[in-house]
Amino acid sequence: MNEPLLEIEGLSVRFETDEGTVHAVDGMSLALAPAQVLGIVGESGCGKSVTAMSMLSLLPSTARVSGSVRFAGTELLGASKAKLRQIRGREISFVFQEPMTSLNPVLRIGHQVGEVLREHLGLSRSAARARTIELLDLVHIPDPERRVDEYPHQLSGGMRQRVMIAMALACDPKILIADEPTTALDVTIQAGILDLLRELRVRLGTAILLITHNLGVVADIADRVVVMYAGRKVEEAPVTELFAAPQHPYTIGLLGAIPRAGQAHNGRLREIPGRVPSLSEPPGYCAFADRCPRADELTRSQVPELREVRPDHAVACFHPGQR
Amino acid sequence: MAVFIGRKVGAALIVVFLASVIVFAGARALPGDPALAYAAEDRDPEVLAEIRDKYGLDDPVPVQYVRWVGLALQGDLGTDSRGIPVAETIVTRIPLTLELATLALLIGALVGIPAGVIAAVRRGKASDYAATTVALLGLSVPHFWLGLLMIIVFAVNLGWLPAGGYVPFREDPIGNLEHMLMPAIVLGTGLSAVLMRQMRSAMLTSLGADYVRTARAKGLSERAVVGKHALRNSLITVTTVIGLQLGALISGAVITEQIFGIAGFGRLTVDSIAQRDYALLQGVVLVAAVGYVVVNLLVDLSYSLINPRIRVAGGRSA
Amino acid sequence: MSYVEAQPLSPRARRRRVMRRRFLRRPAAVGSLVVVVSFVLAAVFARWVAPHPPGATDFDAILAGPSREHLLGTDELGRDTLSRIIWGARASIQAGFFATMLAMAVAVPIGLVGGYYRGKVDTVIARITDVLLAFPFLILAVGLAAILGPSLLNATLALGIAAVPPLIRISRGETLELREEDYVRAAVANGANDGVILGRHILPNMTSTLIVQATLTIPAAIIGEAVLSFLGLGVQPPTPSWGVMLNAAQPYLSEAPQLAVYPGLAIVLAALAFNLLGDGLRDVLDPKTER
Repeated sequence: MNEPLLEIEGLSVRFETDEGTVHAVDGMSLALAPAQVLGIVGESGCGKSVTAMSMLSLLPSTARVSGSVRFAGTELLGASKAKLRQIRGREISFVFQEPMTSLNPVLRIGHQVGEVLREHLGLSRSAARARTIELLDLVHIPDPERRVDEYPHQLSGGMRQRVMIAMALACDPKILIADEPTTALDVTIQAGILDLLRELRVRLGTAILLITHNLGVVADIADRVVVMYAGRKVEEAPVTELFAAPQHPYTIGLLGAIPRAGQAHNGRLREIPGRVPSLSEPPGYCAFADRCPRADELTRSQVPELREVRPDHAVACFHPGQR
Repeated sequence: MAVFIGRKVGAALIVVFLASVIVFAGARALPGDPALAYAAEDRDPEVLAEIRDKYGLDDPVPVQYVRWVGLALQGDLGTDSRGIPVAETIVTRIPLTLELATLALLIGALVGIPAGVIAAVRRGKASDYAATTVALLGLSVPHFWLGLLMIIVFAVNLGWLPAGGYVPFREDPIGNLEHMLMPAIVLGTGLSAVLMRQMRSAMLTSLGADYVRTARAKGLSERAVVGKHALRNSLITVTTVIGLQLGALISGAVITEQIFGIAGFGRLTVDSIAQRDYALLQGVVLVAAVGYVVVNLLVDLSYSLINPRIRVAGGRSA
Repeated sequence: MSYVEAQPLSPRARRRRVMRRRFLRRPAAVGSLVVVVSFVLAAVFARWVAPHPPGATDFDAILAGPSREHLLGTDELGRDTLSRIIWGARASIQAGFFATMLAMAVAVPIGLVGGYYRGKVDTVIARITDVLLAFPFLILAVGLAAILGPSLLNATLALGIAAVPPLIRISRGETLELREEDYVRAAVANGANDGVILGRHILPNMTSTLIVQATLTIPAAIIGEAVLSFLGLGVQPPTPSWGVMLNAAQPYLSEAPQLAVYPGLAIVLAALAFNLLGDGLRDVLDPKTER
């Protein structure tokens, strides 16, 4: 069994706001193996992006992070700024959700991609430019010699996202963290980006941490899935296992909520009733209880812990399983 | 691109035209009989009638306006009450004010912009509060009072700098700078306060933007993040502010020249109003308005050049 | 455990309470409010606050320094500086407030009409505003004051009119933004007439911006009044005004520099207080601006 590339244990993130403390992430743990694609799924606000950003200390100063994040043996939380800077962009890189605002509008894209190469690999300007063109080609941007001198606003959304991916892959990182990489794009473009990620994973052997609220994306590309709810992990399994036998009522609800063509629903979309609870105070009982069809005395008085209910399939629920 | 520039220039021309109308009408609205100014206190009705005839002061106002504009376009702004061509007076005095304004601009930018950057980067800390408070003070202090204070301290008490007057640069560069230093500082203070606040605000916006997060996620040094990514965006935003501040600079120059006894263009404005010298006043305010419009146009155009989103037309939008 | 809080306050009242609390938490804002109120009170009750009548001359104490009788000294005619400064506050506060109110009363409706109806009316308004903006505030004020003749009333009018163009630009800009808001479109779709839309939907949402702008225009008007009086275009001597006092101080810079220092300090204090107040209000009323 290989050493996991990335190990997160007991990660908790709290934000100090004017209205009090917000518990964004609570006791999160996961492991990522080399060249593995791990999908983190959950609704907006469930803490998945915060988890990812906390790994590289990219959160605003109001965040209080505790726990452990070990990358190839090195502890990242509390690491020195210099150490973090070495890892960011080089060993672990990020692709953000909004390609338009994530690229600097006043710098040419060649410059922005080349920055990483010059900073981490010490390439000269001309070498960086050549390599940048190669990278743009790698992510299938047509006519890269011309595009390299263009500004972000001259590219379409899909192409900007490809530039972000090229930027993230420039130094051949071990891990690529993609935070909702396709959410801001049209459905047709989404497929292209996912194909690209799949291809790159095969060609370059990069591990990918894919964060999304879209189960379809996960089914498409992930090896393993983690389901998050209200800042905690509620289910984890290999992807085929999860889709075949979802255990947590939330996961079941998510899967049921996917509109499928040709399936009779009496004309209505199935939704999960209720809303995500406020993260201001951990309630001391199952966070999903208010919306769960299986809720009872037990779930309203204790927090369920993660247990393995099937081989390699963990759930945090008092009443897991399919009904 | 050419169309774009053309449209801006066209708009500026309209503004200049309308401004000239306002100036002309405004001068006419001043109380007092214009002929008296030309007559130099001689109230003999015959002399006055002669003057009115000579300068066409009895013609209908629109006719006077057209005549004035026609001459102005040829560079002839008429003569003032002492018979000196207005254009000549203006041309002699503008360089002084230009020098003052340029020095003030330099001082304002060199102080204000770095202060704003530092305050933004050290937001919430002592240096931020200190800088912001000083900037607020700079905005609340009237130019002329600051000028008087500086004269008291540096000229009267310490004797380091002259209290007023002017020496042309060509004659005596050091003396010129000595005379210009205090006025330029006085004038530049307000500008630096405004620039500091604008720069701070722009930097805070930039530093909170997604692309800065990306830059950090790429592992760039903090200096590159702030100095390259954030700063460039902020400077572009602040350029427009400088253009807007030129107006304040001009009005500030008026008073500053008054206090420091500099015979510059700004002082002409006040003098011509006080002396009810129509021709002079019209010429002065017109030149000021035209200059202001022209400079604003230049600032506007340079902003378009600096900002790649405008300079390079977008190929496709998302 | 979530608990349900008894909510006797309407949403608007609750918001006001939150804003009041936020304001009280800022010492700078509170302090400036105190100073502003003090100035206004001193100006209004000058007769009782000032130790001496402003015109009372005392030829035994000309250009005197601070003393128990005259806390800030006397001027070239033996008049008490402190009293003249307190009385001078009247001119400044009057000019500041009334000029600003005049400017708002004129600029806001014009901006609303132009920004909401657009079309030819708006183009004309926008062009004229642009032209007027080509003249710096003080130059416009000086010009207008010269036309109207020197007096406090005329100076106030001149300052008010000169302050109109930038305020038009702001109110027009706000209107342009607000008319695109969903609730405005909903109101239009429901058939509300223009007056209701402008009065109930657009204007109330502009108030915080307008309040802040007004608070920031007042110090400009105060300084403007000082400038005009300094140039002889505003308050005429012997009526006390800070600008007049500064002008009178010029020949005595070496003998009695304090004559120039004190009135100027008063101007700075008043302007600073209003500026700080405006900043504080902006933070409280519109917290989404990162400061």
